[in-house]
Amino acid sequence: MLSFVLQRLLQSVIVVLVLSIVLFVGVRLIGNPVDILISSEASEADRLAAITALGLDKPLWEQYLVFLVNAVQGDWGSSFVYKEPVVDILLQRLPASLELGLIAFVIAIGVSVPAGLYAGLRPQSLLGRSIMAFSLIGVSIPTFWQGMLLIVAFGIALPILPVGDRGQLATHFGITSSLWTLDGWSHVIMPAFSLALLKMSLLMRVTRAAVMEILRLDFVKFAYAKGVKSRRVVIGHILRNALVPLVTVTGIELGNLLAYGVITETVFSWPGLGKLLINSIKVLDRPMIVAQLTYTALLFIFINFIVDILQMVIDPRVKSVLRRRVA
Amino acid sequence: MSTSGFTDYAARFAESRSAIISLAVSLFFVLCAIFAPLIALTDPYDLTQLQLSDALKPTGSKRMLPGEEARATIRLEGGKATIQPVSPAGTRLSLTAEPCGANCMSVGVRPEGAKLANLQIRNLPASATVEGGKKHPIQPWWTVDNPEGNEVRITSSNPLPANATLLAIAKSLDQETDFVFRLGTDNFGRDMLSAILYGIRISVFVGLVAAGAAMVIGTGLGLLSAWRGGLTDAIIMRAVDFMLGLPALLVGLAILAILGNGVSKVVLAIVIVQWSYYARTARSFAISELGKEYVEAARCLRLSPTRIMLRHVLPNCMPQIIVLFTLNIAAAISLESSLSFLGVGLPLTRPSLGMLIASGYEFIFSHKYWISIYPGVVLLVMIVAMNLLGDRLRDLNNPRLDR
Amino acid sequence: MSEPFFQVDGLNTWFFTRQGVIKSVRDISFDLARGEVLGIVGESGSGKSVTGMSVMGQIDEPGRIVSGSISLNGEDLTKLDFEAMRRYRGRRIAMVFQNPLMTLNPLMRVRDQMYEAIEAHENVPHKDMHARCIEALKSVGIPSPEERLTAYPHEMSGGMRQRIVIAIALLLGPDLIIADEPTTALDVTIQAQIIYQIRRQIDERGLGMIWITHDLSTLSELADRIMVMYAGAMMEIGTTEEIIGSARHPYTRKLLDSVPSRNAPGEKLKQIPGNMPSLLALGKGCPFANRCERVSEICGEPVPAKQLSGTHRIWCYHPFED
Repeated sequence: MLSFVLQRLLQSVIVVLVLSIVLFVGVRLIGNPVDILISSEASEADRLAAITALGLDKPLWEQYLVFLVNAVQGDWGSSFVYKEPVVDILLQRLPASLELGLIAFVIAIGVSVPAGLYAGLRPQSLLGRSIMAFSLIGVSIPTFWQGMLLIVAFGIALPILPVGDRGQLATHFGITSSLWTLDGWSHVIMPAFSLALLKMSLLMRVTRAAVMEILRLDFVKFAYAKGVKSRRVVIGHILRNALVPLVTVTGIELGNLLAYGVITETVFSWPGLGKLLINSIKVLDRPMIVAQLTYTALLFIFINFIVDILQMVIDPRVKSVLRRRVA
Repeated sequence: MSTSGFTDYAARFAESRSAIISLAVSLFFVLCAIFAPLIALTDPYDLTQLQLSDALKPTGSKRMLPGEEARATIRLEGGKATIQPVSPAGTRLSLTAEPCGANCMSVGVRPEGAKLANLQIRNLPASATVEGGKKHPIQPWWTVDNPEGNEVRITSSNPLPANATLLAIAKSLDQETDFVFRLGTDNFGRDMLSAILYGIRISVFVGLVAAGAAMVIGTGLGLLSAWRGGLTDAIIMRAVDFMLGLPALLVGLAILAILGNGVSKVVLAIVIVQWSYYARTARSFAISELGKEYVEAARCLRLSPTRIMLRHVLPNCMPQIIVLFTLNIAAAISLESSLSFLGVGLPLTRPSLGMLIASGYEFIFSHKYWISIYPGVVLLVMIVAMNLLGDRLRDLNNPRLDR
Repeated sequence: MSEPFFQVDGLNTWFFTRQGVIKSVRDISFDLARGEVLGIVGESGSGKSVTGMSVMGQIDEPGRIVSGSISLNGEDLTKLDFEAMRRYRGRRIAMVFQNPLMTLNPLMRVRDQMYEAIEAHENVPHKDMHARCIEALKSVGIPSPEERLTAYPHEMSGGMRQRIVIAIALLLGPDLIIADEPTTALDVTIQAQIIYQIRRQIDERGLGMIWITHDLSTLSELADRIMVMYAGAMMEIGTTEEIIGSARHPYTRKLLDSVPSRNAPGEKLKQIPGNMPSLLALGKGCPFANRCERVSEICGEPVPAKQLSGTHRIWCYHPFED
């Protein structure tokens, strides 16, 4: 177990390093930051001074090392646009994104697992077919368009939900969040549903496929043959085994959920990290872009790590495979 | 695959009605894409054809021919009038001036059928009036709305001065044309129907080219990985794992942030995102194929690796690859539209469906839904059809599911 | 032999698919006494497994029992609703499946899968359940049962897992066990051990067993009576001696001829030419007619049962005259 954790940690560090190099070099290709930073009327001497001050005269690998050392110490540089440390800006925006992602995740899981389970148990029923049709539309409909439709339906045509921004915030237990207020909830629910829809549909299909696969297996028939009650067979045997593929897919999709936050936050003018990233890209705010993409990659690796641990908890076979590999 | 094998496959495919419909819809979109320039009534890329007076018109409104303004100076010299047009070249309206007896002059407009909004005569001497006209409160300007017979008469109590220069301005009404904007117009006055047809063209093109290139590159690398094994395999598969671990949208966003926007760059971004799926699938199927006796036999015959891989192994991987290709076309179209929506995909002058939806975004708040709704519906139908098609093909490859 | 406690009479189980009605089981009748093993033999698709699942009341959509009765101790199981049938399953009738690697849930400890079987029918404190599980495991010859209880299925061999499945089947002292090819997936030596254990339990506990298989040689060692099925219908039923020693039905003879051990060394194995007819398009006559050497025109007519002895019955117009 411990050696597994260490192995994973080492792998993660390598992935992050590779990614940061790719990003660092890639972002250099966009353009010279000096041209953005200093005014066009500045003299050539000023220009050279700025280049030296920013360390841009050094070879690329040395620049990267400086960047890396600073980054490890928590200094990601300052935003070209906001003139503030990147880390401060990210931390400022983080709660909004986490809030949105968390609610969306809960909605996606809460709807998809029961719906997928039902559709898998009763694939021929009207409800089962409707769930599948819904999920087909859900995986096909572009997130941004679906978000706009929601705005048109619930924000404009029958204006029952507000559009844009987080609404009223409140602080309890040291956490400032819009989830403490009713107004905040009315703001978050529509973007969260919009963000959840794609993942919800995907997970429905995964759950249904897994359930149908498991239903054919003998241990389910054996459980019924033991006289176990249907509800217990469904929960203890079918759902439990369906969790194995579901956890893997959910891990990947949680990462995608964060990525699609970019779109949802743009459509709903949600003041989170996704919107910040798009704005940074549009104005070529280089430190912001690098920091955000690296931060996202870190989050991804962390999620994958959690998924691996969960797999071991759910499926005893995984643990013994690992034990054999270490021994 | 033999002919009878194919017929059998097609027959099993056709058992599902939704599969046939989705195939027909997909083909319809491909035809739309190919023949868009022939079907579309206007060229949405031709910026000179656009006129702001057509912007944001709802579904079913007609294109208006904007009204013209013709100007001419009328010089009076000793009871004779000489007219000098000062309109820009290409103006269809023209003005005439003729004396109509003493102290009277009539100003007319050609061609005769032209519908005028008004006719204005400026710089009249104080003694003169225009029949049926209204004088400007301050300036010596007389205006006649909808002049009868496209003619006005200037009359004066005194004889008209011998030396005077008048200015006549004729304005024609905006005119309806027979051209109907069946799906309305966008904020540039583009015909949405044409824009959508061209948008389909771009989306289908990007989808096919990107998914196709990814298929060729990814399958090639997957086969190479399976054949060579060892270090080659390890490197390629690490790269695949790395790519599969990252969300497609963010990778696309990062690449386009670096490269800037444009059709070829979007295609490149999608290829970078998608090749890994093919590589993984091709490798796993190729490895299981390589373990079979016929490959052993081919190796014993000293057939070249390329020949074994391309002629023997590849055809056996093809069904899975084609399923992936179908689903990835849908994914590519969806990804392109998302990137365009975020403003890093295609340029504004050549709108894809995603771009059209994005450009309609700000107008939904003023209840102008059509700009976003119609391209969205088209996009959705297109992606649903491709996904259904891919699902059906996958079911056919999995005999256990096909009962 | 004692009076039969279990009777199946005129059972029809059909599947209503989009392609048509698949008549998997047609007019099956048999009975079973305590301490008796009835072997059901047939090719795949002969309806033998469907017969077993019909008795369990576990026929899935789109199939259902169309007619006939299945009575256990005088109670007609086909008349029971789902909940009443559930109370019978595992307690009065137990089932053992073919593939021991698939019969146990890979994510649950053996203990939980055994407890679950008891909890479904009785409210017993954990200590008692534990004792009963240990006892059941011992009775099928499992060494160190305490350790096995906390193990996961993947930590054990196929033979061990099948013993556990049998222990679970025996756990609540059922009257009847249905075993669907329980030893087919196992090594020959393990097969022999398990068959020995099962026979002992049947004799000790006086329970009835239906042993479904395609393998006649296993049955000759274990079964008291054998029923031969083909394309959903009964061909011949009799004591093991009557079937193995003096089969009268042409199909049974063919089946016996294709058993490897009954052929002389070096002799070519005999196959039955042709294929089983589609269950979708059955005539009213003998389903074996198209592959039978003794076929005549009358074989197209419905075949009545012929009682050859008190135990031996046959469905054929042209049986072998011994």
